[in-house]
Amino acid sequence: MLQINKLCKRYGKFQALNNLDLSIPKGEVFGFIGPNGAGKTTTMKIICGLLSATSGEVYVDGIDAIKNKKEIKRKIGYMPDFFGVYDNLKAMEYMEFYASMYGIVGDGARKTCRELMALVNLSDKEDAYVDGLSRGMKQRLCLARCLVHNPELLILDEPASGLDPRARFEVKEILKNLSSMKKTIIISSHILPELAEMCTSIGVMERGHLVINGSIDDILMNAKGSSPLHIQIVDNQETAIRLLKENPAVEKLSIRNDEIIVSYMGTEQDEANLLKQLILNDVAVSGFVREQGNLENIFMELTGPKQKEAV
Amino acid sequence: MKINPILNKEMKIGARSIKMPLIVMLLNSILAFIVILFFYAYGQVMTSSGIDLYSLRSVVRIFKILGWVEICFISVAVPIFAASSISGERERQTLDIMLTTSAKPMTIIVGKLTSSVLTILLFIVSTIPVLSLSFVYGGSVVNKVFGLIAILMVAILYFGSIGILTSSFCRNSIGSIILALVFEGLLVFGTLVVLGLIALVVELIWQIKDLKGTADLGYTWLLLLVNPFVTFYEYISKATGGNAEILREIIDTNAPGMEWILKNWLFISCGVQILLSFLNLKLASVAIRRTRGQKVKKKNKKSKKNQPVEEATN
Repeated sequence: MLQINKLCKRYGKFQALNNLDLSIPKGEVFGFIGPNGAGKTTTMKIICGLLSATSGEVYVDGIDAIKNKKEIKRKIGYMPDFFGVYDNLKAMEYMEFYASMYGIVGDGARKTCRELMALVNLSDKEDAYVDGLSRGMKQRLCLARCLVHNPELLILDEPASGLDPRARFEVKEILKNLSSMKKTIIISSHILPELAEMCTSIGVMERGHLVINGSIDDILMNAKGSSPLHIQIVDNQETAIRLLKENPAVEKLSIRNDEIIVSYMGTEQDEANLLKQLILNDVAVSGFVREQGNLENIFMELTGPKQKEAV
Repeated sequence: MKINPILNKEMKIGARSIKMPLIVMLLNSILAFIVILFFYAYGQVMTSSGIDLYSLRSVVRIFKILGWVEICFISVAVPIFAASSISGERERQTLDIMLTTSAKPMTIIVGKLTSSVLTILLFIVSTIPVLSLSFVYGGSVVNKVFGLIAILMVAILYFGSIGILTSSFCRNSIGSIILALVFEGLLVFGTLVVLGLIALVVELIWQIKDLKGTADLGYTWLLLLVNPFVTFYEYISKATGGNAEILREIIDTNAPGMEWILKNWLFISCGVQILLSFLNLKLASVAIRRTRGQKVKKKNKKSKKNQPVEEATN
């Protein structure tokens, strides 16, 4: 659905995007992660035609998005990270206004807008003024607005930012619903656990680069391998420390009361062997567990100081 | 009939705003106050001097005053409405969303301009009853009042297009309004200042060369065609019984063709200003395009045509 080749964007001396390559198949829910200024919004704006690229190619459903801006507009629904509303305009009028911007007018437009308002659970707010809606409702209304022309690709920049847990849950449910409609969705967000729940694949951006990109399961699996091992020792801690220091797969270890936290690079089989060795050497082990991989850890690891030095 | 979506939205929002009736009330109150004051002052002079001042020729002078008040109102109100239209969308962060829709930049610009023009026109039309008071002692009300509205409409379009142009490349509304007022100032006063300076230089050359007669500015006078206040002056002077060739008294030139231009000044200047308005709108649409980055580097344009996506995604 989306193919980006060697995309570069320069603002004066600042390189916002540096040879970005990305491909997102149809029906995918892609999570864009990265610290502020990493280039997520710039990428999204270039895809939508709101910014020009310094160099590179963007294809949306096989159409060159840089050359054929007019054609791709019908394929993309864009929701910016912040959107303003108009005073004195009702929710239904807001929807109909954007429908008319796509040339959808009359009864057809009204019917589509009604359906979309129902999809985002705002049917009872059709006659409410937009500026009087809560932030969560405005966010849902904006989401409905994105869908008014039935786009194939949805680009959502921070759709859940500034929302309370209930409103975030509602937005998440709508996105799940849209995903089941086979829409390709690109979401940028800082709320990483939610992205892990919603997305089928993710890409982590740092300083205009895509540092990691792939299916969420693969990335979490890889992350698990680099997560620390937590070993609870009841007795004979000295022997345990000696054995761990002798083990070539142990990179470093730290001790917290009766728990030893180990940076362990071995496989699952190595882990089993280590546990066996500890028990055979009379170490009383009450807990032996590998920390679960999560997006937050991946994010911190990939965008932390070490990574910045490497870049 | 398909109505411009921006115009439709703006009209809905405008109609619900308290600003509109307030401005209508304020403008009409000012004009009515001027009319009352004028008639009162005339009455006082007539009582003390015993001269009948309520002759047709004397009373229509109030039409001139009201006309000038209206054009001054337009020159201030139009930039406030038009120059904040697109920059206002930018400030609200709704312009980006608009630009991702199928609507062309020109549709956005025309919608914004039309809504500003119609709003100001509503204010002007609301003053017709007050304007008509000028002809309470006789005279062709319909011709003169509607002639005035037609001239004011050209000025609204002209000033509006300047406002839209500044609005399309200014980031904030205040900057856009100030810039529009500066542009207007250049057109209204700048053209007069430039002409004055040119006249001084030509006069100097005339004296150095020891030529007889007065210095002739020739086609330089055409600069005044872009000045809406000169167009208005020409109309209002004629409408209130002034010289049929009022500009001929000011513009003294023997340049070929100028005689005809001076005779048809009103139509020519209106034509020039309408043409410049369209040029301003075209420039505004280019400015919006540039904002959203249609200017793509040549290197990019040479890039391979529609690369197969499926191949890359699999």
